[in-house]
Amino acid sequence: MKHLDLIKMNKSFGTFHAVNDVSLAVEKGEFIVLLGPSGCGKSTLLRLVAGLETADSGRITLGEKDITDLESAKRDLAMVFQSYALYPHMTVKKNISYPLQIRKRPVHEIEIEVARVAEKLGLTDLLTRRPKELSGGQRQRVALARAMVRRPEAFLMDEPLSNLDAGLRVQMRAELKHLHRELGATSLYVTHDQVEAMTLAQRIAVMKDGKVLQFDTPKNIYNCPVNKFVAHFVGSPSMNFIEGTLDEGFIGDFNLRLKVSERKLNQISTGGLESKLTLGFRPEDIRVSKVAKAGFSPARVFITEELGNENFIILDGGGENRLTVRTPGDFKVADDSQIWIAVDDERAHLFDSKSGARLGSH
Amino acid sequence: MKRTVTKWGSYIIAGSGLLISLAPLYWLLTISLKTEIDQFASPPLWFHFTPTFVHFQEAFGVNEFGKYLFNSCLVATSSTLIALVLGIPAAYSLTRLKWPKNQAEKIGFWILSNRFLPPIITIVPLFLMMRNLGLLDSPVALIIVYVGFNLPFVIWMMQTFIREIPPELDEAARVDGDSYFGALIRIILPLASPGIAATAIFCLIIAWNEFLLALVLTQTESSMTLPIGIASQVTQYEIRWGIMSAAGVVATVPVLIFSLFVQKYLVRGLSMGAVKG
Repeated sequence: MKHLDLIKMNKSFGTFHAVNDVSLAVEKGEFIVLLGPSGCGKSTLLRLVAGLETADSGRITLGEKDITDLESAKRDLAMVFQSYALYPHMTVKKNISYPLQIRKRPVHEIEIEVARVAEKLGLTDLLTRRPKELSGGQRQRVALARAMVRRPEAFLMDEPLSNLDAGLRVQMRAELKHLHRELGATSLYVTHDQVEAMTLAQRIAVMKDGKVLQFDTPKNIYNCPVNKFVAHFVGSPSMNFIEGTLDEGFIGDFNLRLKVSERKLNQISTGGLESKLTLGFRPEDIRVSKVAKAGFSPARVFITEELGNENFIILDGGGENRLTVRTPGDFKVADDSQIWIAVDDERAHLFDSKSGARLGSH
Repeated sequence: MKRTVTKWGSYIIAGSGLLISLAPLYWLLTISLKTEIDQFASPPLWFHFTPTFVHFQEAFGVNEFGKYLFNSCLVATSSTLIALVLGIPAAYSLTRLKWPKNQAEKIGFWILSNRFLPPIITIVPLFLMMRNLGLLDSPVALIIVYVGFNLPFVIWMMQTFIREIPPELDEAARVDGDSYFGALIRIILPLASPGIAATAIFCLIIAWNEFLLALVLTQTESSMTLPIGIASQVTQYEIRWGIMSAAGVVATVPVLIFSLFVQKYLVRGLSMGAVKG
C-alpha cells in the first residue's frame, strides 16, 4: 500500500535544477534511503517532503492526504537533522516534550510519553541535562527521541549519522535499524554513504543531478545497476571499469585485454557493439591465477593491500585506470609481478561508454 | 620579570583610561555636592569641601526635575519596548522567510537608509505633523518619533543576531508542529536574548539622551525630558551649575542601573559570533 507518494516533484534555485521531475512511491512502513553525492538534490527532496522548501511543481500525498500545500507543522512528519538541531536553551526533557507541548497534550500524558521514549533510547538519566553537556551519540539519541515521541506518520532523516565518529556511526546504524523494525514507521533517510544505504534501506533511490537514477532494493542495485554511475557509486571498493572498442571478443588495450563472452555479446543489440563500450565488474567477480590458464588474461600487479581476512590486489589497468581484485587473505603476490585474471561472466556488465547506460538484460 | 612589566604596563594603561573617562563624572558629582562658592574656588577643591544636598533639593523640590525624570523614563522605556516589539518580528521575517530575489537585502538596506538622513532635516515636518495631530507637548509625540528613529537600528542589529542562530533550530520547531510565530517566541527569542539586551540598551541610551527633537516637540514640564530640563537651567541671567549637575547625576543613575543589570547579556551580545558558543 502506498503511504508516501511523491509525484513529479520539481524544485529550482535560480538556474540550478535541484530536483528534476522526481517521482517516488513509498510503501507503508518502508525504510527508503535517498543516496547520492553532495549536490544531487537528495536533501532538497527531503526538505520538500518536510515542507521546509516549496516545490515548483508536483504533488506529495501522505496516507490519504495531499500535503503539498500544507505547512510543515500540519504534515505530521518528524525530522532528524544532520546537526541534530536540539534546542540549546532547553533540557533534554524539554527538548523531547516540545512537539507534545506545542500540541497542548495533557501534562501527565507528556510525562508518560517522554519517559517511554527516554527509556527506549537510554536517556532516562540525562533528562535534566542541556544539549551542550551531552556527547555526540547522546545528542543523536535525543534528536531521535524528539522525533519518536509523538508517533508521526513518517520519519525524515537528513544524514543523521554523519557527525558521529566512525565507531559510533556503525553502532547507531544498527540501533536505527533495530528501532525501525520495532516501530515499523515509514522512513525517508538521506545519506551520501553507500554502506549506510545498503545496510539500512529496504529500497534505495540513487540520485544524481536532481534525478532518481534507480529505485530498487539494495541487492538489485548492487547486482543490476542501471548505469555506470550507480555501478560506481554503490559498492566498496568500487566496481572496476575497462573501456574500449570490441576487438575479436576482447575489450581493453595493450596493458590489459579481457575476454567478453559470446553469451554477453549476444544479449546486446548489434548497434551497441560498434560504439565504445565499458566492461564493469566488481572486485569479487574476478578469478585470479598465478600461472597462465586458458581464458585468462595477463595483468600487472600495481600494489597489494592486506586486510588480514582478505587482500585487495590493485592491478594496472592502463593509464590512470586501476582495477581492484578481492582475494582470500592467503593469496599473496609480489608487487610488479604478473598474474592472470578472468572476469566472472555471469556477474559482469557492459555499459555504453557515452551514455553510461547498461547494455542488455541481466 | 618581563611578565611583571607587561602586567603593570597593562594596569597603568587601563588605569589611565579609567581615570580619563571617570574624571568628568567625578567633576559632575562634586559640583552637584558643592556650595556655589566652592564650585568656583581657584584652585579647584578636588576633595576638601563640605558636601551639601541643596542643589538636589532645589532641582527636585523647587524645580520640576521629578517630572522631567518621569517623562524621560516613560519616553525611553516605552519607545524602546515598542521598537523591540515591532523590530524583532521584522528582523526575523527578513532573515528567515523566503523573499523573491534578494528582496530581503534591499528592504533591509532601505530600512537602514532612513538613518542616513540627518535628523535635523525632519524637525520642521515633524513639528507640523505633531501640531496637526494635537500631540505637541505630549510624551506620546516623543515616543512615536523615537520608535521611528530606533526601529531601523533594532531591525538591523537583530538581523545579525538572528542570523547567528542556526536555521535548523526554527525549522525543527516548525516540523515539530510549531508556527513561524511560535518558533520566534519559543526558540528564537530565548536564544537571541543577549542580542535583545544589547539592542535594548542601545535604544534606551539614544532615547534617554536625545536632545534636538525633544527641544522642538516639548514645551512645558508636562512633556519635557531631562536633557531639555538640564539645558533650561542655562538662562539669560545665570547658569545654575549646581542644579544642572544634580540633575545630571540623577540622569546617569537609571541607565547605569540598567546597564549593570543587563551587563552579563551585553558582553555576550556584543561579542556574539566571534566565538561560537
